[in-house]
Amino acid sequence: MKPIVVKDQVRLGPARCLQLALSGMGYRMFRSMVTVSILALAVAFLVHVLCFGLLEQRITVRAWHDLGPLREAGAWVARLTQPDDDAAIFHALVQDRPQRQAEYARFAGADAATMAQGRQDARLLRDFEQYLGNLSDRDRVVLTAGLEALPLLRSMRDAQVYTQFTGRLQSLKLPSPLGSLQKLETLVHQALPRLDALAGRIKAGQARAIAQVHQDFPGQTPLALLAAPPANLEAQLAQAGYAVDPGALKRLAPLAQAELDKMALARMIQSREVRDLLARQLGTPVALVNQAGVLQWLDRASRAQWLVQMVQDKTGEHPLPPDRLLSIAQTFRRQQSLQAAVGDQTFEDGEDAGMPTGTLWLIALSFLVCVVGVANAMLMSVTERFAEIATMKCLGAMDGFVMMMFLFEAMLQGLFGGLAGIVLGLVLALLRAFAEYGLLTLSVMNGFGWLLLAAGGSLVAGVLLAALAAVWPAYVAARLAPMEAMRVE
Amino acid sequence: MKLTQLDAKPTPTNPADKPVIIRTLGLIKSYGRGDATTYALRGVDAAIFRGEFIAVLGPSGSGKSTFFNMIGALDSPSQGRILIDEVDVAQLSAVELAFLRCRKIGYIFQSYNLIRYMTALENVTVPMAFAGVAPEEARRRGLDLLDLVGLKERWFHRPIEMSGGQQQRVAIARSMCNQPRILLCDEPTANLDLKTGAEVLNILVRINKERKVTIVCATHDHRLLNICDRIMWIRDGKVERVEERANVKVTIGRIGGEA
Ligand SMILES: Nc1ncnc2c1ncn2[C@@H]1O[C@H](COP(=O)(O)OP(=O)(O)OP(=O)(O)O)[C@@H](O)[C@H]1O
Ligand SMILES: [Mg+2]
Repeated sequence: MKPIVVKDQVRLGPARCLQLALSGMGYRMFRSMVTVSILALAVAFLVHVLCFGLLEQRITVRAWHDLGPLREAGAWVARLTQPDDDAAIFHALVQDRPQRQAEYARFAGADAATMAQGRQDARLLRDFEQYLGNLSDRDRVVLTAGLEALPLLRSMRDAQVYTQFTGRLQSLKLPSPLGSLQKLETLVHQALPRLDALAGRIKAGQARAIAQVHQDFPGQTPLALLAAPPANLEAQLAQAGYAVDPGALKRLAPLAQAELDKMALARMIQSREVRDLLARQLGTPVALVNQAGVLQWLDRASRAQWLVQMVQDKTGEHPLPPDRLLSIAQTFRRQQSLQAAVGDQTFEDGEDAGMPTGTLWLIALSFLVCVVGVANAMLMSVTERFAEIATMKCLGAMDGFVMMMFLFEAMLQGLFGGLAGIVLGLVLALLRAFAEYGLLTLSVMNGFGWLLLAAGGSLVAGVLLAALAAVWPAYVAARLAPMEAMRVE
Repeated sequence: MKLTQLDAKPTPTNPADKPVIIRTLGLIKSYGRGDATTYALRGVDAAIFRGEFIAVLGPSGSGKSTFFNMIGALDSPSQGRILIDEVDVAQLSAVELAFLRCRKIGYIFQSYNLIRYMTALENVTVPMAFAGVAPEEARRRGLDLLDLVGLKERWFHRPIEMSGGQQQRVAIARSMCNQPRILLCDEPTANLDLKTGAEVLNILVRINKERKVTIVCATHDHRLLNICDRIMWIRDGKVERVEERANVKVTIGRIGGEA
């Protein structure tokens, strides 16, 4: 009889491995489907959070942008009513807006060097504000004794207060603001007085300009002026020293008119009788009947007609026509939804807004959830097959084959799960965005590229994770002696 | 497959001139460490001859399965050596081990160890796939083997659709598919009724006689005493004694030296 000769086992090619893995998956269709659905859920969660975050960010920026004219109109009314306050001036000085700064220079009668100095001083002030902003809440309260940056710095001109401040700085073991105490001293004793002087000159100039405009157009409120701008308004404003965007006045007129209309509406619903009737109609207590509530409620022609008729009957006045009412109500609701989307965030013009920290945390967390979910699903589906791996090894399978089989299987499952997850996650994110922001969502849907990019990234992450999470335990099992693997629970 | 075959004549053996195919030297296997160490094998020196049918008997927990795993190169010993045709198993590389398990040794497990989701035929062809046999050729040989164990008609059944005896027969077919030189069986009849157990034993005898395959069979089944060539008694992880079958008195109720 021949002796036993031991040689090298043949290695199976990838094609044969793939074939065996595929037939195996076919037989375990149901179990595979369970794994695939878990993968899909994990990926869907990630895609949903990621895409919703992206959508939300874009919607917010878009809404901020769309509200621009309204802010501009408000700014004009404010500029024509009273001079800016110090904080606003200092803030505007650091911003990169040449027109505005030229206007300040005119109002203050300051030369370029003074303005440049002012900008530099304002930057120092901004740096100090940022330093305070980066402190922990507790440290900040202790350090500033609850004061804002400006009053704090002003009070520090007093040598005693200054020493107290530096003392607290030391006892809190904080780094000195602006890099060195010397700079802080410069800010307190030189930059801030300079800034205050400059702001004083600017405010005086603004007051003169406001008086000038009043004189040119006597008896007109700023809002009325903006709502129906006389032909010479632009020229007169420029002459008074204001920087006027060409075309801005025409653009802002309807907005100002809408504000006037809203004030008219507020007058319409002032009388007790009208408010009583409205309260019954709106189903709210009389005390809560206000302009905003009425504008929300005014969403169809019949209501507007009813309101106008009722006001006429009760007060004998001639209120706004119903179609005007309807149109301001519509504008108001749109502005409300934009305002809701923006919340209390502000963005610098022209700057691409990053995601809020909360959203970033949520994305990180959902990535973690995805990792854990995928890893768990794959680990489970591999560990429950340790006995199968052991049997295969008893029958002459090599480690490479076992791992390749699991790799193929995991990648296929990851692919299917990932694709399903993407679709699910995208649909969820879109639905949520629609529920929260309504049609605003549509306005940011031009070009799906970024959404698909996020989804594709999640898919790749899912497939790689699944492969990794399956191959690692398969490797561990394959490395064991067959009977040891068989014993693992 | 007639039951009368159970009374096959023992092949006369003489240890001195029979070539040894499996030899163990001071085989020790322990589980756990420290105080919790349990010894499954405590120094087994055994020699199994080429072409013989040897039964390994012993009470439950005596270390039969452990011995089976060791000589099948399915688990590594704590101490001692295993030589298969004078080649030390411990010196084989992973690739050579796979070759050995795939083509030189066939395994029949107590719990069948069929792959759940594969049909009978696929279970039989898996080791052939590992050996690089082309799929059509593997299919043809698989059907022949299923025919040998009387399951040709049921080639498309999954393990759960088959009885224990049928599964065991599939496992036998699978163990034979790459024409192994050694067949290791761990209680091949433990889960079977008398009749199917006898069928399985018949197949084993035929394989041993017709194909000259060395068979090592751990068992509690006393019918094996009628068909094997030698009997190895194991107790507490040690070889108690090895007997020629001709020297063993088989009596009902009290068998061999086991009380
Ligand atoms: N993984 C393990 N960990 C610890 N002890 C083990 C392990 N496997 C087996 N043993 C011990 O080794 C001894 C021998 O076990 P083995 O399975 O070889 O017995 P056996 O002779 O096959 O018994 P049976 O006839 O019941 O199958 C037993 O005492 C058992 O408790
Ligand atoms: Mg056992």
